[in-house]
Amino acid sequence: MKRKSVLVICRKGPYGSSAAREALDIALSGAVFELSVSLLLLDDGVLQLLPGQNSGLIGEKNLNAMLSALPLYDIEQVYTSLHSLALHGLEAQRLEPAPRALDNQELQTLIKCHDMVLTV
Amino acid sequence: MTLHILNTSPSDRNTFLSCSAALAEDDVLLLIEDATYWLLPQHRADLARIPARVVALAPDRQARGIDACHLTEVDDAGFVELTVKHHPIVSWF
Repeated sequence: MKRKSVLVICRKGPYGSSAAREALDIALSGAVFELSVSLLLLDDGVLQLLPGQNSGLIGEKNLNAMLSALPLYDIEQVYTSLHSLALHGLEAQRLEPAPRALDNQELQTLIKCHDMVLTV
Repeated sequence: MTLHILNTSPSDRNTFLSCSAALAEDDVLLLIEDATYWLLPQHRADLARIPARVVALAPDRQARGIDACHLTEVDDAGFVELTVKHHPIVSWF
């Protein structure tokens, strides 16, 4: 049987709320249960990928370090949009892990090719 | 066809823009809760630019005292029907 595919969308920064952490937990749980999981970080969500996060200073676990471990769970590709990168003046190759940046057409296609979409 | 569900008011412009970017022509955008404020005359030009079909949840609009416009509306049963007929479903909030 074909593995069910899940797209997890998160549009929040890493520490302002629990949303980013919850999105990551959902992505990892899905992967553990052998779902095919993709992570799409839009708007402030792309800020989760800023390198050099020192979250210990505010008593939080480093979410970025956990995102970098996604390939261990077979989540090979993190996606964002060109709009999200432009919104914050970021370049994909300077982010960790480096996301694949999608234009609107690719964004629409990404959504359509998943069995389920969860926004956190 | 994908069903996109938006629940934020026009003051949250970024949620609207991201949702719009993800809309394909054969998709449906359903406006619920505070997103029914997009039906106010001030915001209709933005709505008109959306390439997909836009539908509003009537009880949420009426509850907020917003006048009906030319847009198609659904009641709660219609909402359920949309969720059954579309795949996948994406929430924007």
